[in-house]
Amino acid sequence: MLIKDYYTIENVSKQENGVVRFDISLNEDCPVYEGHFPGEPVSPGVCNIQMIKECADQVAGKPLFLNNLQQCRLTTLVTPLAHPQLEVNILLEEKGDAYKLKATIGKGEDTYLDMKAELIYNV
Amino acid sequence: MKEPLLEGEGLYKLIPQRNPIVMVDTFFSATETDAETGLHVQSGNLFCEGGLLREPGMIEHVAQSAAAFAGYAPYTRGEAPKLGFIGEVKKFKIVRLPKVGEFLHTSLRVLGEAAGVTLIAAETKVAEEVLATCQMKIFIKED
Repeated sequence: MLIKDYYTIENVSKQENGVVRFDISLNEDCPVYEGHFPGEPVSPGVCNIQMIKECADQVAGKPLFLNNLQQCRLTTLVTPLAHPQLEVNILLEEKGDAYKLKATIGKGEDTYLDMKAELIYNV
Repeated sequence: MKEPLLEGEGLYKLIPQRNPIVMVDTFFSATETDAETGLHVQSGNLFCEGGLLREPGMIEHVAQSAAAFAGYAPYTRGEAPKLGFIGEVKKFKIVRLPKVGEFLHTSLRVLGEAAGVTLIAAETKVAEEVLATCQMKIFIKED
């Protein structure tokens, strides 16, 4: 985990249509919140993107390099107090030397972040 | 290289982020539409691993560069920086990750503004080498 103590994976489950779902909990005591922002903890969008990348690493079974983030929409501000439990959904498809990734972060019917990217094996 | 307008903790006048997640430490210039910022990549950086600044660190550097740009005009009026959030990241392409010890120099350009959302394009270089380019939508939270 790049950002130490940012989250914990509670459960991993295979869904229909190839999606792998990671149930995670955010850790409100992570030191990142001391600076983002003082007195107003907001989960940094880039830390959530990194969380997706690390879940994709697990699905691929190897470390990937996120060298082409085509689009990532962050539609809801995520905070560790309002959103302590999240679902990270990963759809990863191997295409030649690269992986195509579609991912969302949300909870139940709600989507807070959706992302489309290409990754390569991180040699 | 030109002389910075603000450096180090001087950037705290432009951005609301604080350690351990301060990802811009140099502010070179700003016009109505363009700005230039920088970051010394240091080993203790939150986003460094194995001597490299990893992908989220590159993205956060651009986001905070945009925050500093947005904070510059209020700063010149003696106002505190406002909270800003990434609304969308697009076409973020990384050619290579920066190494510890390298200095990132980022150029920003405003492509459009509407309803509190600013669309910017950014290019991050080390010396003359382009390491990453992207577009980003930033929301500024009004009080």
